[in-house]
Amino acid sequence: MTDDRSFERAARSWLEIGPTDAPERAIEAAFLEIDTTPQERDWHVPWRLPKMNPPARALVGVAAVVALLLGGVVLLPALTGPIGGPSGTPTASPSASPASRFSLKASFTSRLMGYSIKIADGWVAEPATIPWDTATDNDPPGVDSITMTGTDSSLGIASQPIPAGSTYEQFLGRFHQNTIAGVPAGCDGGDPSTWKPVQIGPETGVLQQLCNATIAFADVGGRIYRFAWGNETFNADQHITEAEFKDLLKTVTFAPSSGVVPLVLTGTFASPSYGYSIGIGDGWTTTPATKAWVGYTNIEPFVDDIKAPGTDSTISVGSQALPAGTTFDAWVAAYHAKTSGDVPAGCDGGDPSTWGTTPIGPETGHYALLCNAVDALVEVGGRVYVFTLGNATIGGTPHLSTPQFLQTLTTVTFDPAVAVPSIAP
Amino acid sequence: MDRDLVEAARKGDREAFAVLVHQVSDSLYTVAHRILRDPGLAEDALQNALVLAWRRLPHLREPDRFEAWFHRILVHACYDESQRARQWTANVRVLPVDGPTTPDGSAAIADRDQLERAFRRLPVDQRAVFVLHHYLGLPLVEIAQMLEIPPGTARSRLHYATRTLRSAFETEAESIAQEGRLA
Repeated sequence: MTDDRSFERAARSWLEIGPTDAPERAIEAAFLEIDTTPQERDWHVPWRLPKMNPPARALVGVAAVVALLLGGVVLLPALTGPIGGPSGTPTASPSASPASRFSLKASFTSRLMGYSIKIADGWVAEPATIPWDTATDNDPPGVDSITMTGTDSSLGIASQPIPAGSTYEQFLGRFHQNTIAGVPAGCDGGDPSTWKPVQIGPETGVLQQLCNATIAFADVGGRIYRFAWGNETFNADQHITEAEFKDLLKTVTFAPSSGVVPLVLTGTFASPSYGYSIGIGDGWTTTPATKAWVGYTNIEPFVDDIKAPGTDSTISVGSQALPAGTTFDAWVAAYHAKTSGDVPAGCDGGDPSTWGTTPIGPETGHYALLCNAVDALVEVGGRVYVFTLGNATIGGTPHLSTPQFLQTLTTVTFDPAVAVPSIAP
Repeated sequence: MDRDLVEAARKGDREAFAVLVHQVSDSLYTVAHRILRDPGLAEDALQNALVLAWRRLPHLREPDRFEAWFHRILVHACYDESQRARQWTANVRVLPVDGPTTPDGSAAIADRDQLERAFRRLPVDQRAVFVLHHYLGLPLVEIAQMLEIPPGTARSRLHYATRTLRSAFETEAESIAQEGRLA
């Protein structure tokens, strides 16, 4: 029997073996990506309340109690001044909303989430392009983002069907657990059963009140809707007020049947030839390529074909090493020219410089919306990968939707080093 | 760690972030390598962790805990890499075996091989706690804080990892002793 000390000594000495320096190429590769990667917006801004003198602190307490007694809620962002600035002036939000600064005359109708909301002229809406996954956090492309020009506030709005076998309350409980990790005591919004009701359009939802963010939820027609309000800075003067947020919520109209249904991708297809894997759903069938892809014609037998049952859609995936001396952009331009020659006018996806961007696994790819297909391309490790959603018919038969296709692409992993140069018949 | 640099990087200063990365990258990589036991996977984990840290830096609440926060991101990147490695069943990488740094006896090599094999069979979350505790020398409370898990969970992960490795270690020791008696 070995004693604890000799085991620990052996374990430590074994762990000491191995490299001690980080490889430069990994750091360089990361910085190449960082150069084009924006930082995420901080939705949870001032966890730290500004230092307040005792009288101000007392006023905060009184304001909080008064607000609660009035049936309102305490809006802590409004209580906080600029970090490092003068003591915050405690001003509890009244439960009756004051006149909004904004004239909500325009309307934003979500493409994927099944709702509309009034917005002011000049506000910028960035629609979601993939279904909302709670792991996607608060940022596009999984949520609609509305930037309220003239303030530092934004809304992140998303919805999804209540997961099978789950309830709205269970979802709220899980969401709550995910959002409170690491937040200070007293800032977690409390148990979901204690959240205050709030009017969202014609429905009554609940309000999760964090110290520096406010999230409203509603269950409408079997979908969970989430409206998250966050601020860019610590300056409360720059935020919208809670009353204005509530006024916005009142303008919502719901259309749950038009919301996108995310795919459930529990399986994985690992390409035997091309150095990638992709998530697949239950019952999906896969046919690996039997000949290595060269040139631009990405049809079988040169591509891996993935079919979703109950649809006429096929996801085809081809990959090849970029020819020596050819840039990715040049390859894409040539691919576009070769493959769009015989498509109807207006169906060629336009010039590649106008294509949208979408996450393909950890990479950012470009995608072209064709009339009955979608192409998504990305370069990884000196190889070009082309993912194509194609439908056999124009109408009638159900297709995989573009958002569902783009959702599938988020599950991709790459390992171009293991792609094979040729495929044995 | 320079707090001003962290604050600057939080506000989007890439050069400040580069300086910070320079300070922590060796530690991050060596930890990833010890958890994943594969240079390629460790490199990928490091690369992903660097990009993710840059993206998420504005969410960092306590600049003084930058290094711990970065290690948490790294450990999660290791979880992801480990998951991906499992998906690549058709393309298993050849795992290099590190040679000894100093000459030693066959028993020590056998110990290491046995530890290596047993360690690779551990769930990655147990490996992470084991490495953070025995390689970085962090106390369990700090590991729990770093990984945002309850201290009891950290303790149980270390316990199960230790039990498995210890059992493998003892089996090898007994087998060597047995061979010695038979010789």
